[in-house]
Amino acid sequence: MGVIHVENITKTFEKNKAVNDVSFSVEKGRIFGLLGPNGAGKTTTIRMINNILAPDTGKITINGEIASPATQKMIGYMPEERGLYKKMKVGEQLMYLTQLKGMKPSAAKKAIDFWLDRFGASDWKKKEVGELSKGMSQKIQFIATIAHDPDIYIFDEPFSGLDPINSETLKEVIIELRSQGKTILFSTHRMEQVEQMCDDICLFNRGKTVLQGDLREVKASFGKNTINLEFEGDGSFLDNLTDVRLNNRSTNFAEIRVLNGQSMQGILEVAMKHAEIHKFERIQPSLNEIFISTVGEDNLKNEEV
Amino acid sequence: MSWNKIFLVLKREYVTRVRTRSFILSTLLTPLVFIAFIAIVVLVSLPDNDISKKVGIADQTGLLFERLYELDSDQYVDVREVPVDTLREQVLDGEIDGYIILDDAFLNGNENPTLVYSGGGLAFQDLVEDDIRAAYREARLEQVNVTDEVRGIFEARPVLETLKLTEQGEEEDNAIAGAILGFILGLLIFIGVFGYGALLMRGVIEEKTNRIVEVIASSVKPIELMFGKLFGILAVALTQFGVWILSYIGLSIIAAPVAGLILQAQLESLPPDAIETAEASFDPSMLENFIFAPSIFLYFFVFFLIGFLIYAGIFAAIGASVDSEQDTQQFMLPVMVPIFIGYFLNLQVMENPDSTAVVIASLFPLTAPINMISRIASTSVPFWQIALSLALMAGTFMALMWLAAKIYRVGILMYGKKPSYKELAKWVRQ
Repeated sequence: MGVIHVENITKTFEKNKAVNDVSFSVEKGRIFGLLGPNGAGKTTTIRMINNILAPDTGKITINGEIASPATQKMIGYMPEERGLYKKMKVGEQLMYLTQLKGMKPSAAKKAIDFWLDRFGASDWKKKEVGELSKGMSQKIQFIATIAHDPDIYIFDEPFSGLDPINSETLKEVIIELRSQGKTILFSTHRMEQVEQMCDDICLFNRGKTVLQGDLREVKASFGKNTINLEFEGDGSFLDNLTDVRLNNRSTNFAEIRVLNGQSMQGILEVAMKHAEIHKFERIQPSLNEIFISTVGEDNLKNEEV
Repeated sequence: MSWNKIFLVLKREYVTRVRTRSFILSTLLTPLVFIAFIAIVVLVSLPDNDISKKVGIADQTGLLFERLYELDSDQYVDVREVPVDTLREQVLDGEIDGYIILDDAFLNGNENPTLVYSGGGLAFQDLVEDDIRAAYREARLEQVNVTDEVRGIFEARPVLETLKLTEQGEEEDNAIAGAILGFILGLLIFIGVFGYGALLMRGVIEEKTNRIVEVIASSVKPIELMFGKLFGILAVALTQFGVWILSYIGLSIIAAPVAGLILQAQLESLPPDAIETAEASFDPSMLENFIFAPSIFLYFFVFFLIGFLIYAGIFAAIGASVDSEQDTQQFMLPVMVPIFIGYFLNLQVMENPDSTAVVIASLFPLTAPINMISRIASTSVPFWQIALSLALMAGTFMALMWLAAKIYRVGILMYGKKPSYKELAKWVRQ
């Protein structure tokens, strides 16, 4: 059984089924990506894992224990909407939040000093959070999430609003945490980050999981149904292609998803007539393509019903 | 429920608030206001010799001026010979402050005299009126030739003295001081419940708008957070009131001796014949009326505590239901109505602490925190009424807190649309 185990959970707000019979399992030492469009039920699921909300039905276990105040201590959680007390000093604030996670004051102090030092933020200890820049307070928020040294880390949209440098630091820390055997679950809709970092994914749409598993296996299951095309010349011929979807298009590059058994050779012929081809490659679809097609199909299916 | 977590929240709430400059200033400056108040009481009651108004008396009866002159030789001047036009000019020029024509029609009781003056205040009017009445009475009594005995009857001024009977025996009654104290204590509870309740509400809204509430909710239960904040603010309020009450008790004990010393120093600088009047007009021992039995302050803390708890849960729930302070108004009305009724009734309590309306108000749990404490200070309230009011308050507190906790739990994670009462009812059932 996984470190985080979610079994048939459902959560209804008034008439809206925010989460509908969802199950997945996060294995120890892996990075698990929770994907899906806005409103798919990711945040609600994450809140239930954190025992902030209780599922209407179903069961969530953390390290084998039913989600409870005791399991909250095992998790470091950074919500999508981040925030700190603006008028409180950095050091006191971190002490407060860390102690709420059950840490003893002396141990909390040591951990906070360690992380402040690690992020080059030791000088800010006596500053009020309101005085800090956005990037600085994001670091403090991150320290508040991890200082109590939990086994499990949950980040809801961790990269939203981060500048490239903080984004990179966060990525490094997440990968470092995994190398220490920690388990990480994060939600995002930035696919390139998922491709770079995640071991497993779970794709949500309309409160249900529509796709889940090991990232590489998921991608392989879609087969090499995509063309990676590099060319020079007039790219307008691309608009006349039928039964394809163009992703990631630019002046001399296109990722072409072939649909309905359209012939790849035919596409190559057309391309050669209109432009000089530098590269023509059959590849696995990008995660972005998988995301769009899976969610699209799911929505179509729902409309028919 | 984890008491340890509640305590951590409470501690943060308390420490961050008690350290603010506004808290320290308001806590320490208010006792200085007490001192100023007592000083004003003393100064106002000290003899005031600088009434230097001149009133011209055109006495056409020949019986009244002498008597007025005897009453206050500085104030009254004889202007019998001066024509009215000149008198008017003199008033306008400020040479005299006013004049009165006293004729036979007045002496015969057919007409009221008129003070023609350029203004001078109510105290001045009263003074002149008293003097005129006294002179008139004496002149008339003499005219009709009454005996000294009758004259004695007219001059007598019996005073009602009071002695309050309690279980401990007789004690000197200080009904006025008690009524004032009652009003002030009721006012303090009103201010405390309302002010600190609003502070709590703003704190809850702040956590929502700061978005820190979700971080906290991943560590503590909503009810632990709510209780921690609520008791933290309560502790802040008790600290402030504690400082105030203690300094009041201290001041009230030293006030009489200190005022006595000041008066002594003043008297020594006065001419001997003024000492007697000065001593008569101010007795420092009257300040002892402001010393109250400690039990009233104990009651104050009990009623404030429960009163705060009754309202604080609602304030917290309102804070949790909205995203910004502007949105609170529609929910504030039901809170403000009872608390303001209690406040306005407090004047009634002061004047008439045993009337039916006041007794009901002092038992009704939403107004009891304000009105019962005022009653206890002003009159002797039967113990069963105090006990009943406390019991009703405790029941209300528990019911409202249960309701508030339900709303709070759902509300803190809700953003966006301002909920209607119907939606709040759904939250409670969730």
